[in-house]
Amino acid sequence: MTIEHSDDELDQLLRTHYHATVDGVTAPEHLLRRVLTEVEPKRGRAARWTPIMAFALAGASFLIILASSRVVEVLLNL
Amino acid sequence: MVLDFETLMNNCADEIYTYLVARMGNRFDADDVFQSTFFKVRHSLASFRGDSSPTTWVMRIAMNEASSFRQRKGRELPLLIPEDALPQPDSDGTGYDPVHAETVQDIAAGMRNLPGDLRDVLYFYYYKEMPYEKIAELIGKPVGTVKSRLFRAKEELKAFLEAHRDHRTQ
Repeated sequence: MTIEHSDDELDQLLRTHYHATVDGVTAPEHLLRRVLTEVEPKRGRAARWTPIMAFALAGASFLIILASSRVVEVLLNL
Repeated sequence: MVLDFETLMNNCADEIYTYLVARMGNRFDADDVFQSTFFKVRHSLASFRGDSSPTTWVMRIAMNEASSFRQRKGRELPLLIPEDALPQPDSDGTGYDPVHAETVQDIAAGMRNLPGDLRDVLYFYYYKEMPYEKIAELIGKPVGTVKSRLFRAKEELKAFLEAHRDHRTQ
């Protein structure tokens, strides 16, 4: 069985839906405070560099450890 | 035109948040988009030229953020409808139409399937009761586009409701 919805009925349903869902909705106080006090998260260009910087840092750490172990090896051979 | 961020936010926070709850369909995502909207507003405050009212300017930013949020996340939480938001029976049990209540729920479910640009025009037309011209100005499209989006949104909702009703009566 197919019940067709007339335009008027749908209009009414849509209004009921919106009034049921968002009537009386206000922005929560904690959200307003957070926007005022928090620093904007890094986005765009800065955010794109973050994984590259992390990778470079990890590489540099690895090289330092490698160099240190070589130094220790040389010292032990003296 | 010099705008004070805090004053601007306090003036339009409720309007923007209400739009975002309707647009995102739940408060969790609305909170996220609200924050990103006002971070962007703060960032771009100096570039506001005063071509439109400050609230309209913020609303456009919110609409863009809502669209990009949906693309970024690629998923949506279920639409949350508070229990008392649905039609309820009176204390004597009268004045309650279960079919109507189910249909209101179906409308909420149908909204999830609509693209964001169609949801926007439905909200501004049916909830904010804006004329076509005002909606056109807000979304930056011709009046004809507003009318065709409204028509498409209603056709899609009708098809959804009919499919659901058919499924239920089988």
